Amino acid sequence: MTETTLSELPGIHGAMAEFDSPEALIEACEQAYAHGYRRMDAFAPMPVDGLAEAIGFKRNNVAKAVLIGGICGVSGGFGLLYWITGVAYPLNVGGRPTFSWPSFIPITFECMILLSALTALVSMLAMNGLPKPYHPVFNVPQFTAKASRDGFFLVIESSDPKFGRAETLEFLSEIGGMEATLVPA
Amino acid sequence: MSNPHRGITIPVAPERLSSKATGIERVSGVVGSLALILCVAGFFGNRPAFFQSYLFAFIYWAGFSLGGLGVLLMHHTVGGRWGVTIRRLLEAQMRTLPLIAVLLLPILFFGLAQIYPWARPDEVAREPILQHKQGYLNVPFFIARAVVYFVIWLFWGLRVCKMADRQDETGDPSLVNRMRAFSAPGVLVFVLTATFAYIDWVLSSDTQFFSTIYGAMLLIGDVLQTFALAIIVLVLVSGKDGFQGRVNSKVLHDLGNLMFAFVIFWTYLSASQLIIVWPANLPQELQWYQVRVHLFWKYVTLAIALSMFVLPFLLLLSQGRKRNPVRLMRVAIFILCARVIDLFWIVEPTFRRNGFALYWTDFAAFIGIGGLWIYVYIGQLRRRPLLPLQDARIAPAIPEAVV
Amino acid sequence: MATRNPEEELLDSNVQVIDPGPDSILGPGHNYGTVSDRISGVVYLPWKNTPKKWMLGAFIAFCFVNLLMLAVGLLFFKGTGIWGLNIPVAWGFAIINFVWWIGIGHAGTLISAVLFLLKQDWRTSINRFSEAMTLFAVACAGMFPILHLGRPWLAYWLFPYPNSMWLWPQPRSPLEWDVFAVSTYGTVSLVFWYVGLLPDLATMRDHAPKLWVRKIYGVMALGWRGSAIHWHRYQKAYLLLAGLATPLVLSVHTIVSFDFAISIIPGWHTTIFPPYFVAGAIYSGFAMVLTLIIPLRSWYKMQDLITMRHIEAASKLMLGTGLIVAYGYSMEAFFSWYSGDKYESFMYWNRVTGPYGFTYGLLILCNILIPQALWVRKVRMNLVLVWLISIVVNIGMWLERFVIVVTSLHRDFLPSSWGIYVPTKWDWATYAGTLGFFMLLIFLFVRLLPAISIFEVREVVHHEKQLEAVHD
Repeated sequence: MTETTLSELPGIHGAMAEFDSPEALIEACEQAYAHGYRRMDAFAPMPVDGLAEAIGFKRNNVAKAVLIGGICGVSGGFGLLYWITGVAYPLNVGGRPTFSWPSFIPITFECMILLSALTALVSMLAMNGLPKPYHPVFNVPQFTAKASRDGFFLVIESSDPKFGRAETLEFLSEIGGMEATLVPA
Repeated sequence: MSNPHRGITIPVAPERLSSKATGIERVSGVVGSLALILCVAGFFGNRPAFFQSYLFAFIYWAGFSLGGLGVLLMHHTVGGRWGVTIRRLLEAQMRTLPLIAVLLLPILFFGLAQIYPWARPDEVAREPILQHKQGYLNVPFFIARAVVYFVIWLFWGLRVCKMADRQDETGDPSLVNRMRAFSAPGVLVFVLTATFAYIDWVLSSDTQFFSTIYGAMLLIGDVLQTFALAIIVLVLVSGKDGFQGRVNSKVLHDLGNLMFAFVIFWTYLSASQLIIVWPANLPQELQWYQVRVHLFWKYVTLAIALSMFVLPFLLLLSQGRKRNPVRLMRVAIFILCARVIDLFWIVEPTFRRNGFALYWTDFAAFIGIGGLWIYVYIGQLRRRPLLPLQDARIAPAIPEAVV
Repeated sequence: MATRNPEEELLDSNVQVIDPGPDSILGPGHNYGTVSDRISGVVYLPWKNTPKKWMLGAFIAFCFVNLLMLAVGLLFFKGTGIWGLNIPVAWGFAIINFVWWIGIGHAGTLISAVLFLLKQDWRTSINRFSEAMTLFAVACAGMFPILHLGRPWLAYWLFPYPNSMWLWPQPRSPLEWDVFAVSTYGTVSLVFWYVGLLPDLATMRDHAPKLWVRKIYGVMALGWRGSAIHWHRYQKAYLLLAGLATPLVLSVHTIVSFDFAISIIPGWHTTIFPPYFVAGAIYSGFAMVLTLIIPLRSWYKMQDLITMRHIEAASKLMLGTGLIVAYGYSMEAFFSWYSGDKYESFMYWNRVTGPYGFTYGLLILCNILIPQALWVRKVRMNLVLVWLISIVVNIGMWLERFVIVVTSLHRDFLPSSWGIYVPTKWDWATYAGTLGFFMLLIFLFVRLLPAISIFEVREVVHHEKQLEAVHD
């Protein structure tokens, strides 16, 4: 079976295997990383602590982006209010100064929250490369059936320098992967 | 799960507090007494100034006792691993209440007319508003209320501590629920009585000012003070040598987060009052702020905004700082210092309307009351093991079995 | 167990529903797969098998939406004159309902964001539902100030944008703060809800029985595939959103309270308003959560996912926030006398004994006296009583806003300007219409989207498995 798949597929995305628990998947990822694989991805139906770290993920930049968004919100919001009341449309309301900073606190705060939250959404999606309607992993029937339900998968991508169709499949089986298979591109 | 939690070690029974603490206890007792003796000179020298200083010092240190009681009752009501860890510290804070009651006596006997306009008959005759408030603000009722507050606080505090002691002896698991059932209404009673205590003791020193948020604002400050003190003591008793051990860093992180939350909560209440009073521009309210931005006072106001909100907020945003015992302790010390300025700003401008002023009694009274307070606090802390090991809820706070 | 018709049999053909009681947040025997099937199964159910109670409820709600259309249509045609508003009571139902609705929304955010930050895992089964509730309540709330504008079609004038008249809104007015607060709140609630929904939409996409259903969920899921790195960023973003939503929810009701407190109207201008409004909002929100979730969990046989533990925790929080509200009332009462201000004392005296005195009495009864029954554990364990109390609190919180808006306004500073406010039938119709609109959205939500966060329940399953492993 494996032999025919190997010869039939012209281009492949990588090799995939399933593991039966989150803990088994983390262990497999650590072994694959120790074995020298770098370009790989693990899939779970819920967040699993330590899984991303196990495949060598280090830098999560979402928080930094949100911080920048928040700073833009504060300065933009306050600047807008200052400009409206002080420059564009100065109006005397009951003798209160045009630069009424205590009255600017609420809107400035809301602008900060709004921009931070939108940055959190957009940066998370953008860094994850979403939306992405097509992805090769969906070509594997067992992945579509289980990955968003109760399946835990490891994919070693063909772009990895150490990748070899037969060797990688064999390696995945060795570390306890079930139904190791190639992922058509 | 397998890797050991980085954390801090807390001495448990039978070690209790080290001899170093006894040293601090003695020194603070001696320094406190000396400073109070000095205060007596102030009392005979410049009586109004002395009582202004004394009231400020009293309110600051009473804040720890009241905050300790409030957080203790809150902890018994809602649970949480942070609470079990600092329960003994809170209990010790609560047990300083008798000292606070004694320290109120000089004000009750000699200071009312010095501090409160409603206790000066000539002023009451002049001010219709004081006549209006006579039904509530008069000397006998004021004293009676103070007695009632302390009776209620001590009743609830000592009762709940007694149950905790019984838990230490017997390990009876049903006590957790009984403490909860007893503490939950206690929180309600405490918040109401403490609010009125602050209206009596602090707010009524201003002839005109009133603010419905006032009690909550001072109480939340007390809670903040309490968490800061708890963090400092927790880190100090843990010793600097071994950071792997009995109380894991998650508890410290929880406490850091709580302190952070209360920094924000304090700011929220204070800013709300400003945002409501400022645009409305009503004289009887606004004068409270006006004296506080008069001449040098405005720099004190600015200092509070920076030291009670901006700096602690920025420092506590960092996750790493909240997990590092020594760095977190530094922030807590900073907050305690900032709170000194904050309460000074709440209490004193009412008396020093012509501009900022400092008297030597401000320092003497602060050190005097503080010394005695620390003396009693450490004494109470020494009497019991530092962790309630018989409480089942301690388990998540200590990763491996200690007993 | 009550008798069940065949449709309901289908709903849980092979699952025995057991409420594990007040100590557990998940019924026994669940694994990653069964929780997914249970929750998504409700959505995949063929339309003809939808519970009859759902059909009836959605139909009634739909009728009320038509009433809303009628009332709003007439308002557009004739103007705000069809409402009972007039000087001195110029705010009336529009603002009462606005504050009431937005308050209900707040518990949703609180449950999902604050309890998430506090790592309270019992929130898992009810957070999605509460977030939806927030969103729909904000939609209802946002309608009122806009309808109140007089020329609602010019509502966009409220936003600062460059215009040919070179006019700008007045950012020193709390009404303008409201524009920013409510629109931010609506947007962020939507973002938070959608982000939480994203992985579950992928589950729905992968298991939908029909292709067109699969396509719809597929578009909404944005190609989510559960990559570990995606989860990592996802969790960070979710945590940050929760961290942002928490101060946001506090700020929104604070700003709503500023609408009143910044003015100098006795009864409105008081500094306790911000925290006390926030507590009241959470109070009414928890009441609404309980009102909705107690019947829904039994219709959909979800007792093993939404357990007595959830009900009890929500009841306790309701009791606690209710007591904060009571603290606010007592401060208001005490300071109206202590202030020595004759307008303040008159306001309070009039509130208790004036023409609207009965509303104040009812308010104290509904908001403070009756909910004290929740101190008793037996009451908290009794679904019928909890449900009734939650309705009483909803009514009480509505009365609170009525008392604040109407009694403070109807006695102006000058007795010559005193007046009486009576809502018209169109006031009531609009209010009832938004109730229907809200209910219809809730009904559609539980029918079309997973009402419980599937992936978070999987996390609970995982957590319990880990605990079992430790015990073994």
